[in-house]
Amino acid sequence: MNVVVCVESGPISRATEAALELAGGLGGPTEIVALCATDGPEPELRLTRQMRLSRLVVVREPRFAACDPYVMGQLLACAANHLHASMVVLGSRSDVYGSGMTGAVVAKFLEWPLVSRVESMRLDAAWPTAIISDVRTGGRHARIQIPLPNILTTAPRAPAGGRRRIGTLVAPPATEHLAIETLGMSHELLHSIRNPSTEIESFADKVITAVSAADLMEKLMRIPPP
Amino acid sequence: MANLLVNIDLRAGLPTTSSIFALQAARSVASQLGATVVSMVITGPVALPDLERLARILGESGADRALVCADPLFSRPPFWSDQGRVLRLVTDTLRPRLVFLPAGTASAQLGPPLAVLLGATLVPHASCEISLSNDGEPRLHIARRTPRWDGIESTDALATIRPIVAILKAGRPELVSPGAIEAELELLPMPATTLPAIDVLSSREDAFDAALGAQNLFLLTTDLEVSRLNEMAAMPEGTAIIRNTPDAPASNLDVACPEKLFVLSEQSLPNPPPVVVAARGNIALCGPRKPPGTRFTGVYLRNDLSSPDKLIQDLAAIATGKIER
Repeated sequence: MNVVVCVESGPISRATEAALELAGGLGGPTEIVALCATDGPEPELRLTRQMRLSRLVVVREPRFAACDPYVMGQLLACAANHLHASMVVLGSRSDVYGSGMTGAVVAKFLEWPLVSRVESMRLDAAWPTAIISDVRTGGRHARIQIPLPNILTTAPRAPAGGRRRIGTLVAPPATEHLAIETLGMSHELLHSIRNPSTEIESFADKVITAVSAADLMEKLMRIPPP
Repeated sequence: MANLLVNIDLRAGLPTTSSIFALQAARSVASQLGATVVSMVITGPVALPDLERLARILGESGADRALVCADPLFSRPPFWSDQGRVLRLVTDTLRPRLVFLPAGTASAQLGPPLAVLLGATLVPHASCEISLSNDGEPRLHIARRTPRWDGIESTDALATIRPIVAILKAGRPELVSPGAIEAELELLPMPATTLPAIDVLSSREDAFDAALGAQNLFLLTTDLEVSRLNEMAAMPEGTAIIRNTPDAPASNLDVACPEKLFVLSEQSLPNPPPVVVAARGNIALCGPRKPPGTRFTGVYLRNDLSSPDKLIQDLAAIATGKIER
């Protein structure tokens, strides 16, 4: 079974790190493939032996800079098909805008079930065509069985009560480059790449430091209204 | 903007605090822009008196209409493969330009695929406010924290090409006077689906759920006893305290989206939760330059616990809103 884990260019997020760890722990005859679509640097993977990454595949295209999650999702879906994936795993906020739509676009395009923010995953020994996962939804912490093929997203992994132990790091596999022409994407779609940030106004935070609540309040009072 | 759709999350048959807050936010927008607020409830089987009570609560909170799809399938925890079929039916009919989802884990499941279904932009941790432009035209600001939590991004929902699905951050609903008009109740049929079913093998109450509607959220990574924090006489309503444990991990904080987040740690966190901006001092505040309507305040505290009474006093002062201008 091929499991495709979508990873970012450059340093990867903690949600993607969780995706690699969970996929690596699946067990069984699984091949884990990290997939990155980028116009920038290659992914900086801090791999442990448990992650069991077999391949690192990069699709390079200059127009990917800040491209629309709809286009990126379709591209990843085409690449997952090309790699014969039975399962695609992504970080829960894995687009450059942090909205978390990419997994949903991949799911819609492939018509596979989507479950967001899984906390665990393992192959079901009794029914090898499904994944068992733990997930929180609607006030319940549920253990569920998700039929394959499927799309799963992972929440960022935070340390539980202290520094997380990182195992021995291993070198990533050699990068394989996948030409975008081989993925069967339409030229119209590539030409539709747009940057939705043109509709967004941004306001940067100003960080204040203080030594006490009283000090903090006093500093706040000195700031003029926006 | 004809229809503003609000998905309602239920606990024990009643809307969550975050759902009521989302409904009231929708009412405020709809009243100013002349839209209809349509509430959507997807639930397990409900008796008629309970349905009528639900319609009254939703009406009092601002809904013009209450669409209800009740089926034994929806007694289980919500997933897109189940609830998506109902949302597809409703959105195909209403074609909403704006959808509000309440803060919570159900919205984390339903929000992204719903946005894709509508060809919309998804805005997590959202807040909203209407203002007038210089030429007197209304602007509907949908704002959120940036992905790196170092600022605010705002979009005018009336000027965007795509519809917007906004997962609102938690907030305290206003008190409503009982006896307001009931929402018009409509029962929906159970639509078919083509997606394969997800089986729920077991489920239990989510220890993190109480934190999801909190406006003031304390995350403890220290040994300070929760009982000490509970002593805070001035702890305002809408405050929740959680420990960073495997059962309620801090990684869920980006779903909770409180107005104020307090992280207590005895040392600098090696991997602070995504909503926490590392502090250079003992207390740091992110903000306060914000567009209208956004009131997030993140406070990261480092304390050696040598004087817990002073710490509790400081926290109470911040939580009671004394730092608000």
